[in-house]
Amino acid sequence: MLSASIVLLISLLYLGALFAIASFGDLRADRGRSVIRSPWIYTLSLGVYCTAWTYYGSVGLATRQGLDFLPVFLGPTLAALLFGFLPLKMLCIAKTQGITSIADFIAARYGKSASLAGLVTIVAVVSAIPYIALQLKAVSASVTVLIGSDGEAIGGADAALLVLLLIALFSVLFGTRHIDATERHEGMVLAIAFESVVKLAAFLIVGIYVTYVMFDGFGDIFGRAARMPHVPPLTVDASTTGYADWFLITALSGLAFLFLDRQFQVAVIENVDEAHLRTASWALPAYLLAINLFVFPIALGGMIHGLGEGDLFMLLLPLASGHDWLALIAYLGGLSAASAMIIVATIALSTMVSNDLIMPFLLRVDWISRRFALPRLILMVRRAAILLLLLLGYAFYRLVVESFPLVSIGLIAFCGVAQFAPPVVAGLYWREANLTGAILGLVGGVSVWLYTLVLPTLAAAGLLDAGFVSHGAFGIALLRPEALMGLEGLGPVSHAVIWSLGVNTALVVACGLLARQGNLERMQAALFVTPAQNAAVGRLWRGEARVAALRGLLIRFLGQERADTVFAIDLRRRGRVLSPDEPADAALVQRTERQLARAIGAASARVMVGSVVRGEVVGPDDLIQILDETSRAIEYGHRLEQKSAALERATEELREANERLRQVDQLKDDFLATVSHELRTPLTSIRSFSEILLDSPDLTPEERSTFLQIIVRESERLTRLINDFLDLSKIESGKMEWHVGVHALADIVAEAVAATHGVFAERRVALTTEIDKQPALVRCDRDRLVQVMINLLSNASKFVPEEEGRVHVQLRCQGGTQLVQVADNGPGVPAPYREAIFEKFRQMSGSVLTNKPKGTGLGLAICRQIVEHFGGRIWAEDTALGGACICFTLPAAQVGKAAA
Amino acid sequence: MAERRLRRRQFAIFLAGLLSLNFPVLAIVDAIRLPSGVPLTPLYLFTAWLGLILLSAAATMRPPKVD
Repeated sequence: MLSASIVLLISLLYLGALFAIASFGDLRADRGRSVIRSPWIYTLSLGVYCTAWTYYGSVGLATRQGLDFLPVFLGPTLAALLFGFLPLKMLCIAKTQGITSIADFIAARYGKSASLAGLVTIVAVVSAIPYIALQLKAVSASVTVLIGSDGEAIGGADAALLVLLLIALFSVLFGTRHIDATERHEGMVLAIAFESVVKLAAFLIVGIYVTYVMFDGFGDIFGRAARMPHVPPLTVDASTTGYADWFLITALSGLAFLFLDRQFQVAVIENVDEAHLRTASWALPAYLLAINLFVFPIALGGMIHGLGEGDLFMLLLPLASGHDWLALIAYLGGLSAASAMIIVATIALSTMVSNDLIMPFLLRVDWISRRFALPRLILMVRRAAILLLLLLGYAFYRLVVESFPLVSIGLIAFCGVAQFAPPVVAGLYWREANLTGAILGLVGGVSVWLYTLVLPTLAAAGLLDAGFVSHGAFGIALLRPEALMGLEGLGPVSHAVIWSLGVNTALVVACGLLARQGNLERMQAALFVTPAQNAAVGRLWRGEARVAALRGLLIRFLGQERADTVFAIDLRRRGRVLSPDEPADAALVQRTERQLARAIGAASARVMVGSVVRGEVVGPDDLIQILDETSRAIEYGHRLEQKSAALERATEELREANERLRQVDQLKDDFLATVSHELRTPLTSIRSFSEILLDSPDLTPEERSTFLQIIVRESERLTRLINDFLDLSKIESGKMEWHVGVHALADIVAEAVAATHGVFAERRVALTTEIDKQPALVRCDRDRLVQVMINLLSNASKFVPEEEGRVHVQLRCQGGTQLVQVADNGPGVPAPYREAIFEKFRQMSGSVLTNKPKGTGLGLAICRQIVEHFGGRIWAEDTALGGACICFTLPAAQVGKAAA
Repeated sequence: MAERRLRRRQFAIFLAGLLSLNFPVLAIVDAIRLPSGVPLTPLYLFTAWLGLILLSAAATMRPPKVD
């Protein structure tokens, strides 16, 4: 045994070290050199989950129920694997919304409801007080074991009370330094991480000592335990719970790990970097595994040595082997586990109690807010709340907890905080979840929890009449709290979990389907369910607020310095100073509310901002109306845009059509002018020579003959011209009569060559032909195709130089088409004009395109019409002879068809 | 994309944990004894637990490559 003074001294030294570490952490933070910006510190701070219950109680439970201590750690392990999902979402929302606690988080989701925040706080406090008492019991029991009968020698001061007072001092000093509850308590976090290291190290040291010093390893312990008359069950099936309980306790522990107020404090409020969650998702399970590694060896070792109750084997085994120093190490581990839980829980709960229970009440009392400086008052309330919570824990410990094993109280508390799960999960993933459902669900779930678990536990401790447990309330068997509605075969905790969470979830879902949400509630729902898509929703607000009023509010609650900081940020954003009488915009109102929420919680902040702002947020109905109107305007604009585009297209088409019409009109005018000119020229000539013949009887016979020849030639030209006009007109109007048949193209070419032979001979132009030997049949009007050939040959003869001119006609079969080429050594057709020469009255004179044709100017236009009519194509290209080459193709006629 | 893959992997590990640490897998393990006569269950539970930790560490420490 150790002396009381040594234990007291060691305890004081340890707690003093905690103060030093926390001071160091805060000092570094004040200097801007944070020491908690590490995923390892974050992970270790999450180790606050392992309380004295874990430290001592797991061993005790292992001695009684074998493996049943494991689900309490497997649940958080599985929950940690989901850090990338629900906890990450909670973290992101909490940071953007300025959330200060789990109560604030739930209340903010459901329209910043003060009632809900108060309810959540009450449930958290009711769950936490027995838990704090549990830690005190562990400390007290461990001190008693260490000093034995010397326990009375501490001058009447209870060891637990002494520890409690020191922890209270620590929490006040390091947990309530700032009014801003969202500000990180870096010193406290560092101290908690240190405590996690201490308790793990202590557990491992004792575990290794027991396993490898007191025994010869795991095999030795398990082998010797197997020979004991009463061995704890080493299978899940043989344990007192069975598979269903195993699963339910695992699930319960996972939920409690996520929603315990102290876990929310370290995981969300104290988080520095979201990326730390990633490391914690595997490092925390590793921590939990390590701290449980020697639970069985210690439990079985204690049983083998017959040390009695298992809850304190951690201390009894070293003491039994005469190693008091090792027992002291084990004690420090237990003290660290207990103190860490109490510190974090009291800081988290004091914020909740202050913001959601006390301050809303105090703010309604005018004289209080007038008489006290509110920032100071808020801090005083938080400090008082810490003391009150610790005293309540102590009272509960002295009055109730001493009758219970460590584990049972812990699971009861877990079941209480698990009631936050339905409103939080539904609130994060289901937009319809509403305030009515959250309140009714919590009230229903907590009521069932109290009835099925808390009251039977109190009855078992002899604090209540146990009759209702065995016979049911009012003697109704179906209302037996541990077999509600006849549900039997489960452990009391699992039974309570099923009923309480079942009722809670059912009410949340039913109300979500049936009840309506308020405007603010719907807006908050959007911000929580789909935060990324609704980042701008929070800015939708309409109403009147003066800058001076908002500034006054900030000064009143946060002090002049903090208010100046907020307005300095606003100045940077706007680039100008706001005058006091100026109306505030939505952004400033929102920032003011958020700053206040950091100090007094979302619900109270909402009320306070509402007191200086006339108007309200834009509700979803208004929002939907605005969106509808905007959508309609956008749609109308879109339609107008489409119509405008269509009109532009139509205008463009009209403009193009008009241009074409203008060109056609121009062509018509040109055509008429050309035709008139072409008709007048021969007519003038005919008339002139006819008048000469008429008026000059003394002309010689030779002269008379010459004039008559001119008259005849001009008449022929006139006839040709008129025939061409008629042909073209008929073809273009579709009135041409075609005498279609299958003809040998070679014959047609030969006929044309023969017909124009005289012309070539007259101008002494060489005409050569090259006819493919393969029979070339085409479907055409023979006379019209002869006309085409004659036209091409006449043109060629006209444009080649006399005597040196050469024209070469070639007929070839190319696949399914017949190709005819008329090449000459004339001036050729420049590329830009190769298309234009097939237009009416457009032909080449020398090397320039001109409207003054040598012939009628219609020949090539007629050729194109005829060729295209029979499915062919006509074009001009260069030739090896140096002049132009007019080519046309016609589809070859099928022999079968030809025969037909 | 990489973040989504990582979350998918984490969820798959969570499901694997949920299955391996509960009925019916535990019922099978409960029936197995080590040569010393001690049930396999404690050893299995700690091994499965360690396996989950290693899988989770591997998934988070080596994030999936971006396509």
